[in-house]
Amino acid sequence: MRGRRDRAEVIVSILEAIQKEDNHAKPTHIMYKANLSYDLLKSYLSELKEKGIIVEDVEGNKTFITMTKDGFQLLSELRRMKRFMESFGL
Amino acid sequence: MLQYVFSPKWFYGVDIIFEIFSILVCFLIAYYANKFFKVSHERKHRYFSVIFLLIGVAFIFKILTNFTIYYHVLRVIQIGSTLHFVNYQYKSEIIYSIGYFLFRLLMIGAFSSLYLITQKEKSRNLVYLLFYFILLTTFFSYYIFVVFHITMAILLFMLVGYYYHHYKQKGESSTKVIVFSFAVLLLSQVFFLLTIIHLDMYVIGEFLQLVGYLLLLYDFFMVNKS
Repeated sequence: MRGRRDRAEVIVSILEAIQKEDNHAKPTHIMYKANLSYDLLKSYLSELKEKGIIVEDVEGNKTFITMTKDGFQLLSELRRMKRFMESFGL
Repeated sequence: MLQYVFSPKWFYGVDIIFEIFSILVCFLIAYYANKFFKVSHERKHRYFSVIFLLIGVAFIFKILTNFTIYYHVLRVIQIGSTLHFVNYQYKSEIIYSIGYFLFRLLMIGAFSSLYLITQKEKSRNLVYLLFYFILLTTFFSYYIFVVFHITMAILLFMLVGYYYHHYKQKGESSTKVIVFSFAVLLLSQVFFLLTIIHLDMYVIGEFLQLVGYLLLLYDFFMVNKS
């Protein structure tokens, strides 16, 4: 069985969920795809928004999440870093 | 009198250049791991970063020790005076003892910790036992040189075993490079041990050690390129 995910893994799953929706994802979609509770997702999204990794688009009564250029960069860097650490069994 | 020059004379200084490369590789990995820790907040990533930092610092102590000793030995040969020889000999023994002690302590401490963080089950007793062996091998060994390299070889052998098992499970090419890297580092320790028989073995040991760290660098670039 797979163990607890670390923060980096959670952030990667959030960003991947956004990317899979053509960079225009609803929070509920991210929540299911990243397998997170609503509260946890909210705290991650607010942190990512603060750091300029994502932006919120409000269209009518719906909210969409979009990754910024920095977000794409972070996602690819995190994937590489994760792979490097995994090669050491960490 | 201590034997503190294990290198053939023609290799004086070249080993220092080799080790500078190893330091750069270790510091690069430490920096990268620390960067990842800032996102992951996982203790194992911070430990990993500190471990490579310690390996780099250990090499710095070795370089400082070697540099001073080579300098003194060469000056002693140049001066050729008995009085100076005794004076330099005494100074060199102190520098050698402190520098080589710190090098041993940091190296064995770092590689033991690297083995520990790869283990899923961490018993407190195992940590204490390992800590005891680190102290034993760095403080109380009469045959310091031999015991140090045997301990390093055992630790590297355990790490090669772990990484090989990890590679078999994951099949990742980056892990395969890590296996090779640690296997080459293990081989370098064997050649360092053989220095007792012939000084030229030190050159092979240093060369293999450099190859081992360069393989880690290769793995780093391979992962970052993909």
